[in-house]
Amino acid sequence: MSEQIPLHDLGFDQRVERDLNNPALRTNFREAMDFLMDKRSSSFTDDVKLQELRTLGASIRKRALSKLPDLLEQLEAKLKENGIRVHWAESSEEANQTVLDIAQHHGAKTMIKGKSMVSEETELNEFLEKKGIHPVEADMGEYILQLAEEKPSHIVMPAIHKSKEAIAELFEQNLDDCEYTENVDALIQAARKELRKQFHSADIGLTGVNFMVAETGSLVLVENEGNGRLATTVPKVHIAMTGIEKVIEHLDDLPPLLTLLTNSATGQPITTYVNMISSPRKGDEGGPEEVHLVLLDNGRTIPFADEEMRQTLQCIRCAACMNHCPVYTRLGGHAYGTTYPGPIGSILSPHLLGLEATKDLPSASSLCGACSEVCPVKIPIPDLLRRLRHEGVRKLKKDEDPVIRGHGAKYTHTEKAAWGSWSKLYSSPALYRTFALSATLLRGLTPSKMKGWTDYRTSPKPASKSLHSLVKNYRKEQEQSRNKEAGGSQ
Amino acid sequence: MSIEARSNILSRLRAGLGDSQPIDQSQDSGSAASYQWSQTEKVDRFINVISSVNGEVHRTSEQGWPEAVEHILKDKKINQLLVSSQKETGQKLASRSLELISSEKLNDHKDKLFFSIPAALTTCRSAIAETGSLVLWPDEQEPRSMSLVPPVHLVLLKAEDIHNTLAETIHAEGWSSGMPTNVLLVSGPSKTADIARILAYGAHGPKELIILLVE
Repeated sequence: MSEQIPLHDLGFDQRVERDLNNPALRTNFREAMDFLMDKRSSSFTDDVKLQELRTLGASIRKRALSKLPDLLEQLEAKLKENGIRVHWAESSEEANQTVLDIAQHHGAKTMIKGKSMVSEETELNEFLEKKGIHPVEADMGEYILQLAEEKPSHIVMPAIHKSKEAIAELFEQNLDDCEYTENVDALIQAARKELRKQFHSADIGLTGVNFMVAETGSLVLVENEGNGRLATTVPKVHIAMTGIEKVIEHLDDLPPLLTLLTNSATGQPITTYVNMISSPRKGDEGGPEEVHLVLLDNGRTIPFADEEMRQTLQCIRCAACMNHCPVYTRLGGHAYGTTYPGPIGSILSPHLLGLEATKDLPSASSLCGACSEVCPVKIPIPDLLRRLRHEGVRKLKKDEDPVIRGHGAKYTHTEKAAWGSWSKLYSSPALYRTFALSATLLRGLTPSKMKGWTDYRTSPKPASKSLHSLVKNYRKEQEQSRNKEAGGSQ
Repeated sequence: MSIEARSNILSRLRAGLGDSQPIDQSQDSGSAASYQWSQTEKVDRFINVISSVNGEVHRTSEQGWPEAVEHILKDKKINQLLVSSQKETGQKLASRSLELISSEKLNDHKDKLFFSIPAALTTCRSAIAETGSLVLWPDEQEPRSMSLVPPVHLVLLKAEDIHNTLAETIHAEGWSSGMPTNVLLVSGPSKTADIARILAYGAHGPKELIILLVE
């Protein structure tokens, strides 16, 4: 029953078709998204306060991005002063290699991981396995997916597509002394017991980071389970891995963003743990002897260079946009085929992977605007989707600098020609009249199959009379009856 | 590799900014809710919020808390307690009928900590009424794993240490001018909803969080 969901073997259309035709998956997502939307709306009860807070959240993120290189340097200096080592990586490969180098330096064989979407982005686990280091995911959702050999389908609740029956079977097959049970408490306790052993013996702990504070040189981790706390407390070495955009200027900037993050994500006023790390252990207070931070670019500097697209980097990864997206709710996360699915994924992935590989994502949206309405930092997602659609069909002019990799990836001569004719037709009254007349006269010849359109819809047939001629006739009749009335009353 | 990556990333970012001006904090718009509750309101709010996420609060007094700890643990059939022998927690419990394990040098007793110690009692630096959070600054007497690894975590909290909000706590305690190794906000026992959205307590951290509120 453990359904294998490979990511790269199918095209986007095929993945969409596969997942739309999976009723169990659709039920799981519908119920889960309804649940998360309810949680959010019941925690933000005062809309005036919420809008004020979102405005502040957007200000804080925009301000940080407006001085990002300076803040990164300030952060680095502060972290170094505190004893934390900072590494920079331009690509996934470089980031993975950095982690490997640190691990090998310590002769490490095992690694315990707190939740990190950036390590999913760089496919760190696959890389380390090949090099003889066994990473174990400790976030319950990620642990389930590691056992099932699947990828996350949601950035906050990674295993949301799995039913408890499927998880029960998975645990029965993979965990020592775990009998089949659908009792969730028992399942969690079984995983806790197994992972405790791993935490106890792991050489290295690796986690993501939610916020980095430049002013104090602090790494802030937000979670409910304690996997992040254990991974940053028990092993001798802690490696934190994150994107360069996650830095904020002041410690004062943290409280409003925390409130926005946890309430938007799961409707919690705060998560169980907020863990702020500012240095390796001093004396006997516990914690790792070494703390490393790996700062990853991997394409983030591309949207940064464009003022409109820079807003993509304001994201604090709460997942509210996917929870509220009618397309994501129906498709689930795997159909997108990228680490970050849903609306934020559709505006971020084209920068990380190039438009060639992601050309369908900006179109996988109805542009209903629910995402930007709930975004805690006010990213105008529909505007950015339209911008990416535009860049996808636009060829660069001579000497024009690219704003994204894969300009014009969706460009076709047919589409270009079709829109060219459409625009000519609609800007010339004479041409338009001729077209309307011939369309109505020749309506019998409308093809019953039109590529793309008629796959899911009936073929459109022009009416026997155009709206223009109907209006013309109507006016004529009105005039005639007015004339008649005028004549009759004399 | 890293040095080259660093200069490439920074120069791409600087080029990306062009001649646009950095935004100053004074240009921020919007606001976060702020609260000024009375002492009673703060206590009530703290208790309500932390209870709603399964935190257990016992209201007690300066004289009464050691006895309360003894009772609570007896009810749970626990007779071992990890506690700092150098803080008031350990000192005031010394005469009680409990087996106390000293938390100093805890790092030398990793096995015991992981697989046998049933409960720990720590102090806390302060608390936050708005979100029902305890503020912990682990130190040599109360290392970081003490509040994390044992299944039951008891915390001694003085009612006068409850702040309104996190923002107020940061200001009142001067965090911006220097953070310790680790600051923790703890708001309830460890939990997860990663299996079919069903809430389960005791995921990786303590299954029970018990607060002794000294008034």
